[in-house]
Amino acid sequence: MMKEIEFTLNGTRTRTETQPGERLLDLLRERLGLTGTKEGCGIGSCGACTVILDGKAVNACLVPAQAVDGRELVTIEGIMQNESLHPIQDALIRHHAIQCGFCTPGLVMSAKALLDENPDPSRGEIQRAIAGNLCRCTGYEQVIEAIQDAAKGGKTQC
Amino acid sequence: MLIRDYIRASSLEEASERYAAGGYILFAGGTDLMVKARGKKWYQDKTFLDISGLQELKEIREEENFLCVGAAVTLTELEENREVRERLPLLYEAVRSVGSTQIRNRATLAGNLANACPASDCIPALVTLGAQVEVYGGKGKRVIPAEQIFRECRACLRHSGMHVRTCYYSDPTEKKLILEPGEMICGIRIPFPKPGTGHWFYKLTQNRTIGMAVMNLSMTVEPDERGKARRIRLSAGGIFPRPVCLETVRGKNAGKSLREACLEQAVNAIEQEKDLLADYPYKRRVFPELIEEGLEALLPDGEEDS
Repeated sequence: MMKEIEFTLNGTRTRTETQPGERLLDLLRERLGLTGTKEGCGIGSCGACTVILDGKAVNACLVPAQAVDGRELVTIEGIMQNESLHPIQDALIRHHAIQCGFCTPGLVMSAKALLDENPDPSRGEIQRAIAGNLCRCTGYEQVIEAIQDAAKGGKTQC
Repeated sequence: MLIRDYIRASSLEEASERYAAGGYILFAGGTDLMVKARGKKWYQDKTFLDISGLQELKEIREEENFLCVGAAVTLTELEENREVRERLPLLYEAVRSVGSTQIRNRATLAGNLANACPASDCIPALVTLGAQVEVYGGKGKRVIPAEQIFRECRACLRHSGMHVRTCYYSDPTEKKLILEPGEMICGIRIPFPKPGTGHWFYKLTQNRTIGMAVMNLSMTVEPDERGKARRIRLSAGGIFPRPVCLETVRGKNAGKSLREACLEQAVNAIEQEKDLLADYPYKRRVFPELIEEGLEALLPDGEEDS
């Protein structure tokens, strides 16, 4: 049954129609045109579709669209600060932590969820936070360094 | 994803009534169901009944010597709970080993149990700890020991991957648990182990990160009054068609040491599954090694007498 849902999307109250068979990922990409959130595996293994739901990183492929009714969602499109890149995005660029970039939005969201809760994470905590994000070209070292750098205020030049 | 409908339950009573009427699949974190619904047409006539928003199922509370965990409590909430971390370290480690952060943020302990996958990380820990399952249904509430809630599922062990997308059951709760129609898990009660109890958890995976367990091991060693190992309890994932707890008690092993008796029992148990288990030769070799490693860590030196 088509149903209207209302939720906070990147800080803005949003109303939209959804169908029961829609995943949050379909809602974002197909209905709302927010294609920054990627579909990789579709089974919760790769993390390319990571978004932040009520402060927690989740796979948008594993959440029914109708489950976000009344809740607060942040996607990669919602993290710009005053028209400039989020410090995590900036750090990823400076640390050469991107090649094809397909995993990057998911990694950014996982890193953001981590830093929002824990502004000074250990290397191990960063590794755990991004264990659900698969990157097949760059590897993880530069990503970890970038997140460490972003946590420290993003001053390191490489 | 192909489902008939999705609704959020507004109360436990309402959820139970609907569930008893048929046509519904209980949905909490959905981390397994969403994968199955994507690839299969099993749910085109089913409605996902989401119970994750029910406040009464969101509680973690202490009751006598038990920690009671509501059916909608996520693995992350458990991981962040101080009582779990400090007083149920075996469960804490099992919970932390499940999937990724994103998965643990959605998945629930009750869902992991209800899904009844033989490679579950949490089930062996719960069985080892002697957890009890609170079930709500037509006849009111009842409590079932975790070890007794499962049916044997031989089909599961014949394929080696045990990934969600290869699971044979659209509603594992119906197939693999002994629940009556309409009964639903509303919570899990976990007794705190006796002070001084040692624990061991090990998860063997193919890639050390977020994969399913090839095998896992949960083990506790309970001391007697003098601090000497008295009772070993262990349970393992990826080996048995139904979760079992193997228990060895000092002084009841026909002259064998506690360590020897424990290993012998485990080897006998896995040899029973010879014809059933995919990768049997490998698992038969590795299982005792996993146990020995745990015993090495948990039994003090010179713990060889019977």
